[in-house]
This record gives sequence, C-alpha cells and structure tokens, in this order.
Amino acid sequence: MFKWLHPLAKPETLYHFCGKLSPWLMASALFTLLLGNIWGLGFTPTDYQQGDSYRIIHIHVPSAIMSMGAYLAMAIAAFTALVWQIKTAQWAVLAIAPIGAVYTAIALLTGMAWGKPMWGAWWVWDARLTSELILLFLYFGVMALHGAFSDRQTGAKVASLLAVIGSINLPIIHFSVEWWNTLHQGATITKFAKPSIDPSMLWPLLISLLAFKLLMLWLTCVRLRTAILENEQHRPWVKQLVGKV
Amino acid sequence: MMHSLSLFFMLFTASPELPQKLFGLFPFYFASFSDFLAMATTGISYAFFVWLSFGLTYLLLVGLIVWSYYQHKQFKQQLAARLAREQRVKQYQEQQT
Amino acid sequence: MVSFVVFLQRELTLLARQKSDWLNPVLFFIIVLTLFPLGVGPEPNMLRIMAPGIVWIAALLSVLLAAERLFKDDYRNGVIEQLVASQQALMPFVLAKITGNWLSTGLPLVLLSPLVALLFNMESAAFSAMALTLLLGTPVLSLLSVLGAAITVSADKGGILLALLILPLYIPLLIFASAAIEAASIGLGYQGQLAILLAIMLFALALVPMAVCSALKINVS
Repeated sequence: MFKWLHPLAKPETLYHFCGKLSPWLMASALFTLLLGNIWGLGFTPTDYQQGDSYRIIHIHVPSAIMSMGAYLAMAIAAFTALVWQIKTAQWAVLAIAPIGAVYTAIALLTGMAWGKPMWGAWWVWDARLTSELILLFLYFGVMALHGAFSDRQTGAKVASLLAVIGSINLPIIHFSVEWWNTLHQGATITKFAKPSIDPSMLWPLLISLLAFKLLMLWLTCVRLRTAILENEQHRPWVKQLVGKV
Repeated sequence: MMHSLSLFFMLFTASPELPQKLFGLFPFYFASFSDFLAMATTGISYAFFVWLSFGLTYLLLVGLIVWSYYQHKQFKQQLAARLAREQRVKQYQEQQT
Repeated sequence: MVSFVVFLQRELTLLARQKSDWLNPVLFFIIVLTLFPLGVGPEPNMLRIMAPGIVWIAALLSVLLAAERLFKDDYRNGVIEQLVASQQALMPFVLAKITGNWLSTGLPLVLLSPLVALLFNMESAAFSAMALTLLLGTPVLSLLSVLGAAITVSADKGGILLALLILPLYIPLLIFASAAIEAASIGLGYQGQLAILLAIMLFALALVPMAVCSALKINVS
C-alpha cells in the first residue's frame, strides 16, 4: 500500500490524480445525494411520533457524522504532515477544514430546525449540540490560524499542529460536556428514546451518508488542487500547465 | 467529466424497469404533490422546518462547491496572466538590447 | 535542571521589572468580579448560585489577558531563535516560562480567593472547594495559555485569535471546576471532580511542554 501511496506525496502526481478522480467523485456524490434525499423525503413512510419533521434526519445525521469524520481525516492528515514532514498533507488539512466547518454548520442549523418543532426551542444546551458547536469553533480556529500568518509555510504547519492538539482534546471536551449535561438534568427534555429505525428509513439514510462522504472527498480534491497550485506556483510544471490553458 | 455523467445516465436508460422496480418497492408516500409540499401526514404541518433545513443545507453546499471551483479557476487565471506579463516583459527587454 | 533554574530566575527578574505584566491580569480579575453583581443584581442567593461560574470565567479571561505578551518580547529579541538554533535548552526554557506564568497569574488568583468568597457570600465548604479547584486548575490555565502564545508567536494578528484558539480547550476545566464548587455549596462530596482536575493537570503537564517546543520550532523556522 505504501508503494502505491508514496508517489502521491509528490505534488505534481497528486494534482493529476485528484484531477482524474474529481469528476467521478462529483458524479457519484451528486447522484447519491439526490437519490438519498429524494428517497428519504418522498418515498419513506412517516414517523408516527414525530410526523414528517423526522425527514430532516436525512441531512442532519449524515452531516453530523461527517463533520466528525472530516475532523478525523483532517487530524490524520495533520499528524502525517507533522511526523513525516509531507507538505501535501499540510495542504490537505487546510483543504478539509472549510468543508468540515460547513458540515458542522449544516448539522447545527438542521438540528435547530428539527429541535424547534420537537422540543419547542431553537436551541437547547444538549450535550451533542454543545460539542458540535465547540467543533465548529475548532474548525474556525484552524482556519483563522492559517490566515494569521504572512508566511504560508509556517501557517500551514501551525494549523496542522493545532488540528492535532484539537483531536487529542476533542474526546475530553466531548465527555466533559456529556457529564455536564447529565449533571444539569433539569433542563433536558431532549433525552427521549430514539425509536429503532425501520429498514425502509435506514436505506436512504445510509445513501445520504455515503453522499456526504463522497462530497467531502470531491471537494477535498478540488480544494487540494488549488492549494497545490498556490504553493507550487514557481515550479516549472505549474508554469507549463497554466501556460497551456 | 461528461463521460462519467453520461455513464450514470446510461445505467438508467439501459434498464427501463429499474426506476419502476425502485418505485414499486417504495411507493411515493404522499397522496399528492401538494401533500408532499405540506409535509403534514400526521395532521401537523412541518413544511417550514423541513424545507428550511433542506434549503439551508443545499444553499451551503452549493456555496461551498461554487466557491471551491471559483477559487481554483481564479487562481489559474491570475497565474496565467502573471506568467504572460512576465513573458511580455522578457520579450520587450530582449528587443531593447 | 541548572538551566531551568537560570531561566526561571530570568523570568522572575523580568516580571519584577515589568510589574504591569502580572498586576494587570489580577486587577482585571477583580474588576470583572465586581461587574457581575452590578450586571445581574445584588441578590445574595443568586450570587451564591452563580459564583462558581463567575469566578472561573473571570479566571479564564484574566489568564488570557496575560497570555498574549508571553513570548512576544523573546521572539522580537531573537531569544527564541537562538534557543532553537542551539538545539538543547528549549525545554527548560518552556518549563520556566510556564512556571513563571503560573507564579505571576495563577498563584495571585489562588491567594485572592478568600476575597472572592467574601464578595459572593460563599460558605466555608464552597470556599475551600474554590481554593482547591483554583490551585489545581490554574496550572492548566497557564499551560494552555503558554501553548496558545507559542502557536501564535509569529502571527501577524495575535490578540483575538489567541482567545479563539484557547477558549475551546478550557471547556473541560471550566465544567469540572464549577461543578466541584457547586457540589460543595450544596453539601455534597467533590473529591471526584478534584481527582478529574488533577488528572487533567497531569495530562496537560505531560503533553503541553512538548507541543510548545514544536510550536516554537515551527514558528522560527
């Protein structure tokens, strides 16, 4: 596997690899997204308890899961960047961060829109909502930190370091928030038991989850290509490539 | 890009019974399209919340996609313009000497 | 070890000369604590309920205030660059920085805690819990603020960025410390929370200095 992975550390190879991959990822991401969402919106029975508001699940749960998945991917890339000093991994960190931030924002916004009819409030200080909000702050931190350095190289390295620190801290924050939430039991009307999900509802959900994953990969490819060009703009291969267009 | 898109399209046109199979297995749940828009099978309408969250999601996703592609394209254009200018300056200097 | 003592002496000398570096955060702490009763009303019972949160938020903010200038002067003078280039003395330097920071901003907060207890009508159980959580928690505050300062040392715009980076990392501390004080104020045991605070402190003590060293190396390279 490393034999196959190793050439991809070279920016030029990675640029062309991402370029070849992205149309396929685009097509499959858009296809699965539309399939999963239309199926979930129109072709599944409704939930007898929550009514049709439960259909928000088809974007809420995938975006929430993938917001954490994106952080994991970012942290792995950051770790690779710091330990093996691979520049392309640093750029991958910066490419993933905005995508993760958007996913987190989607998870929060759809959670609010689901919470209003179910709990009667747009926002409750539930453990999951709170840790998702903190995740958003961590994404913002990585992005803002990168923007604060005039030296691009230092900014990318420091942002990777912060992503690794955040990944160590994230489980601690998560468990402490959960603990805090059970302590303040009075405020939680949120812990109603989740009904075990019907297979007819599960399939579109899984397809949407796959869609969000593919979408993340696709956009990572696109953004990574931009980052590669920006960082390698003085190299001959980039000049040749851009000059041709 | 068009190649892979058309492949997915062909997948559907090649077997006409595939959509029917899918929809036969999972029939359209709502009685009519206006019921679908109303999102109110249990009597309470959740249209506002459902369409709000789907709308926001797609808005954000489309924004992210457009922004990513725009950045890529714009950087390429800027770089090409800069390279062309450097080329011109070089040619001009060579002419002078 | 010898170099640690040397660096610590240097830190303390610098702090003795620049009194505003450690005096301002302490004053800030007291002023923020004074503002809260003015803002939410002087009701003694309500203040007693809110005291744990208020004390800890004020502590976070005042430590944050001191954090920004931690490495700035050493970075401008080229001290950090020299240390990284010499490849040996960085860790003692970082440890001395952390100790100096705790002695100048963390310890005064611990010493001020009786005054805070008076201001907010705390009972003796809640007061001892507060003093203990401050004693265990302020080292973590120092560690994390040194980390934030090291990460942003060569950034063009520090300031608000530092707050954005460190405040999420403070959350576990805030939760467990205020929970301990709250438990003590209603007469429950709070050893569990204290044990977790101690664990957080030891964990941070083990990992943060290494992260600070690598952040400094990245920033000067």
